[in-house]
Amino acid sequence: MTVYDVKKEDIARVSVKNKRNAVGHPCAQLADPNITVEDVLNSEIMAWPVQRLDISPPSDGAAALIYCSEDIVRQYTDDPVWVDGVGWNIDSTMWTNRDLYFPRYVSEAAKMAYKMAGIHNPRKEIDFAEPYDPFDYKELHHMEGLLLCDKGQAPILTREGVTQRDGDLPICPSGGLLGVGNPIAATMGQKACELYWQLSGKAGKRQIPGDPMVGVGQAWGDIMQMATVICMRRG
Amino acid sequence: MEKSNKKEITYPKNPAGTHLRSSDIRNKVITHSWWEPEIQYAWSIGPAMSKFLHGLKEGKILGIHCHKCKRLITPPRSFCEYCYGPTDTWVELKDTGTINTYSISYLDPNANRIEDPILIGVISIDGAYPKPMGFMHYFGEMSKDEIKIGMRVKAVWKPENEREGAITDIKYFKPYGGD
Ligand SMILES: [Zn+2]
Repeated sequence: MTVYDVKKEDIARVSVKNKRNAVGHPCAQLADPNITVEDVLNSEIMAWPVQRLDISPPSDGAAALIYCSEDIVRQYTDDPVWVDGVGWNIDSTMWTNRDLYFPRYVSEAAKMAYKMAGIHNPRKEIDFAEPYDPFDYKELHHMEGLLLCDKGQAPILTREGVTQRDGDLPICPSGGLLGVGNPIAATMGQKACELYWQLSGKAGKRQIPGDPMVGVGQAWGDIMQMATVICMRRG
Repeated sequence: MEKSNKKEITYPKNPAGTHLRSSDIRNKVITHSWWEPEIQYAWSIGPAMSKFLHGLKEGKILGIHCHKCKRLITPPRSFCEYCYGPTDTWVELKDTGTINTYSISYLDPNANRIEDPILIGVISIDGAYPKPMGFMHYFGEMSKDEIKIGMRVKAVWKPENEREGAITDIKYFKPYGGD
């Protein structure tokens, strides 16, 4: 907020978007089609500047995917979704010795996954993303860490509607953890499932228009320290 | 849908699962067991952190160099996590610094709601580098309306006879007018 003059209103827009996106997700705990930025800004202050509706709930949940080898996948489906790249990175545990603005652990994990996936220009080649959003501001952090925009730009893209489901770069079309829930330790599975549903055209009411081809998902762990990234592509 | 000779994969029709309520546990609708763990543990903090805590007992904030990476690290550790080389040359740092980030918490350490917020954050300690380099602590002698990022602060120590070699030997950091 200090480095790039990010407004609380723009952070709150992430929570509003995700809780609205979650309408239509069968597992959603906190979907709300009518939530407004004012609702978020007027919610109980927990640890300023973080308020209650900036936060995802801890949830019980599980996610499962079936991985299949290329040799036999055609026995099961004509339109598989491919895992093109994975990456992971851990930064120093001493987070009080680090730049707290930019999540380098995400950018390093993303570079690893993009390299494996042959993605040279993530902003052009990635159609949508499911960054880890346990708090609304973390979605913004992680968008920048995934190299989907310049530092300080994620709140502006959010304000301009670019990250809406029908925008140029949909972010958390699932409703994310803010809207669906935060099943801690199962969240990367939750993100990967949404990539599968969107890329196979099975996301129902949550479907991104225009047949997205490439999606990226990301999860976060420990104290602002660890990230995993997965790139998936329509078959 | 067209009939294909693909192998069938079934999936749960109700992915949201079944809601479980606390009354289900109370009324023994579901099978459950109850266990109260009594877990005790000891944690060895290692030579570098031990020396740091001894320093606090003496009213000093200590740092240690990684000469290779040109870092003067606090809290200190025995090796540099960027080059994995050993650290050496201890330095006594000033007990002043700059607020790098903060929060005004209406939750106490046990997540109970409190009226009077706790001011907490990360202090970049003077002399340590590269910035930001420091640790987390409380802030005092300032209101929630006065605290801001970039504010200069100084440690307020417990009296010497009350110090025990803990990070809480510093009570909090207060506003500091000096340079
Ligand atoms: Zn080093």
